[in-house]
Amino acid sequence: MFEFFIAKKYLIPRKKQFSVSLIAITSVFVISVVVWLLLLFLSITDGIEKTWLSKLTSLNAPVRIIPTDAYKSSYYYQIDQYSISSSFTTKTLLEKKESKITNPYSEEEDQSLPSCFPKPDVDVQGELKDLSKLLFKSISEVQENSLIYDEFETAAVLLKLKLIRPAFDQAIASQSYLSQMCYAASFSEKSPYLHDLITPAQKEDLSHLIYLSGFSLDSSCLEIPYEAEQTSSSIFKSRIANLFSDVENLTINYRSSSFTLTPPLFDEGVNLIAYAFIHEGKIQNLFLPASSSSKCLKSKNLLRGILKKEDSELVFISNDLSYHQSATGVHTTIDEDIFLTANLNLTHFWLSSGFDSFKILASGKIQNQKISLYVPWKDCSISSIKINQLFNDAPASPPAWPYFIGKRAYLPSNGGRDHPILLPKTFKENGVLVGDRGYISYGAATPNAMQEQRVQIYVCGFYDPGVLSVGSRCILMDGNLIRSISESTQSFAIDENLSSGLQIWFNDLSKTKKIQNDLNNALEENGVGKYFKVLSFYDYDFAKDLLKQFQSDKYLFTLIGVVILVVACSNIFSFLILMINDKKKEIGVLRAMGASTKSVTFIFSICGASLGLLGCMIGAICAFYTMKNVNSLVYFLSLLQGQSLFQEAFYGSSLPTHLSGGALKFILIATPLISTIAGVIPAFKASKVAPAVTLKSE
Amino acid sequence: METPILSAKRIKKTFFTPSPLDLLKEINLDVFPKKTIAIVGRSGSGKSTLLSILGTLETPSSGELEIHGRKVELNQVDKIRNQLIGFIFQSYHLLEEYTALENVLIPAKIARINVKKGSEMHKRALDLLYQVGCLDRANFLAKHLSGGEKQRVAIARALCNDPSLILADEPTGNLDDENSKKIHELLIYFAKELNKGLIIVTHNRDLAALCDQRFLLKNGLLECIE
Repeated sequence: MFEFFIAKKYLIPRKKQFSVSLIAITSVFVISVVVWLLLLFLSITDGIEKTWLSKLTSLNAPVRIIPTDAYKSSYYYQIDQYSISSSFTTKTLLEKKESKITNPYSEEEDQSLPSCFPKPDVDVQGELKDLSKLLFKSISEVQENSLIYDEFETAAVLLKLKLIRPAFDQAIASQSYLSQMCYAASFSEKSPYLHDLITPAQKEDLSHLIYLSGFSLDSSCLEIPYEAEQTSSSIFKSRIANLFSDVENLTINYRSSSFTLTPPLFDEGVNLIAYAFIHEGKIQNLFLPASSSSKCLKSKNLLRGILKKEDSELVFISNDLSYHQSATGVHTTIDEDIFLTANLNLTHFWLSSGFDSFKILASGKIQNQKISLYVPWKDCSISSIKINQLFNDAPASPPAWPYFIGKRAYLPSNGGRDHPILLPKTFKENGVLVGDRGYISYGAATPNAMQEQRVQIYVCGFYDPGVLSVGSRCILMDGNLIRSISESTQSFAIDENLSSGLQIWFNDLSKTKKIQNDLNNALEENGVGKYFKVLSFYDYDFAKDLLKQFQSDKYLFTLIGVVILVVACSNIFSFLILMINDKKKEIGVLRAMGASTKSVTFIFSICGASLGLLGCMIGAICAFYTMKNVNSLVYFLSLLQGQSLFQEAFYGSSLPTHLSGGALKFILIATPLISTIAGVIPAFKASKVAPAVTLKSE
Repeated sequence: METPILSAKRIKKTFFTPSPLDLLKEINLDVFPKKTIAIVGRSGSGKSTLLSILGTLETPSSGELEIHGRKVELNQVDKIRNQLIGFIFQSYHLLEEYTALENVLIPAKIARINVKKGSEMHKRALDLLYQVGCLDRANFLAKHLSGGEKQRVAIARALCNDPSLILADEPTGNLDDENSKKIHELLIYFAKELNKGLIIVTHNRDLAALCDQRFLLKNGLLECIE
């Protein structure tokens, strides 16, 4: 097209038009810098918001259905309290769904109802409406059954943890207590996303679990600081055996360099260089260099020789063969730390009493010779381990930590009196470890007094609650337990609306509003609309403020972005004004040759738009590569600053590395649009150039 | 009787600033094919303004302009300038960053005619360049051409869309005698050979002498000179 043909030449920078070219190059540069910054900023905020949202909805489900007061006070819900066949207790939605009879009340068996008892809500046939069944029918009608749902319960509890830690300078373990008011929320095994939030079990967890295995657990409900009792060796051994059944490839770092020689140290025929300290003809101490080349302490008192096995007994023979004596039971020192691989077979444990005496058979190399020895566990640290957390099907004896089958997460259940709980990872940062025990306490109202109830719990793992106002205080545990707590503390429930109901998961968060509407419609159609309220995560009390903040932040930043873009694009405006003054004669010639005013406007609009587009492209490409390397960039900046640039609790452990599609779309549309507008105004001016200007002689 | 290509009737042009001035009082002019007209006059007598009005670059204060017997409407001037009129300027006004050939083809491009290599229009442009004697300069950038060459390319450009009227404003004002002579011959040749009407505004007596009719613009009126 002729307009492009002309505009193309105008856009190529020329020496003759230095100032015009300079302005053009500057404006492209400024636009690309602005686009780059905006894209980075929007992508990062967008990515962080997505991470937050995904954590929020993984934990709390994107949509919840809450029974309304109308449900709670309905005949359908209340009648269970008056019916012997319901054991005089109300039932949950799922229990109601499973129940075969809609109306459990029988006039012959049950007491008569009070006169103020709510009237039953009946359908056209005069039958009592089965609200729960209708609810689940409505859910199954939406989204072709792809919705996953489960009940949830929440309750407020007081968490008390007893932290038993090894104290290195004294024999008695140190003990401390941690108290925290918490929200207990039900851990839903049906949640498809909880899996991603759970922190995998780590080697520190295992060490602590082994350490705690040596203690009796019976006193964890007691507040008086009893000294933590050692447990019996048989219990300890069985606990260790349980723990080790779920780990593989244990390697340990043997820190302490002294041990007592006990066979089997090595095979027959292996000779190790050793130095013996002999006092009154007896070996007092043996020194083993870790590598054969290492220079050992030279001392008059040390006798150089070899350590070998003779008739399954360890003997030390001096180099001049003058000294030959059994070395079994001799205190031996190795001059360096050594790495050992432990056997996780039960037959390779050795213990006389509790944790302190726990030894494990480990093998490694000294002086390039294979050795194996019993090392005291307390002198070892785990250097690497494979902890089994993913199972193909339900394990016969579940591990001590949360485990996964496919994409579903499960809490361990040890069948004991204590219940596993998952803590937010902030607890971990505050020194709580997997295996720590304690109790949760809640008040149960009796006619005369408030009774404190305690339930024994242990920490089985940690999860990432994301950024939530209550997130750092929300513990996850078995839903049934919470239900029994919230029933006895009903008068103190946090928020009637949020204390129980159904949570619903689905794949695509962008469909949230639609699914919410569909559910509402389905409920209305089934005639149970007034009994249930459908909430999306935008409505959750604990998330509402944050999400609104996100939205308004986004709008604000977008607005600021547009303003900056306008400023950047205003360069185009001055560039075009200058260029048009420069090209007045040419415009006149084109007009004289028949170019319409539209064509002239178009030519200069193209100039403006293409500068904008060029800047936009350069900025977008730079932003793409910056985002790809954003984490190393942040790391570098953090090094320069000497502290972490982004607060991990807020921004997540790593920044998003993808350009946000929405931001890119916004920039790719807004920048050329604004620059075109900036170009059109001078272009109109250009079209007003009188063609007769060409006839004026120079 | 043959219809004139261009017929100006009672053209009047008044300027109001700084003080009211009737630059053109009543101009009547008919241009016929193959006829060449020279307009002479002192500087400031309104020659260029008259040419602008005749070439639809400016609108007259009153009076009518007819091209091929049809009244010129304001919304058609772009098309008329493109299809029916070819302009030649004193300072050539080639687009400096384009080659001679591209310059010749610009009116065709404005008319959205295919000008790709091998097309009719492309051949025609090369032919025009050949006729003005600049074929060997076809791929030179306009800024690298000499004054005489530029004006020849400008003539070829004016003829690109085969207009019926050629308007030339002091076409040889910036050229030496030898070049001027060649340009004069070319202009007259094209008018006669290709059936064009030609109006030349000039100071050059030789050029005026070559034309069929000569007018003197004086006090806003055209006087015929024999």
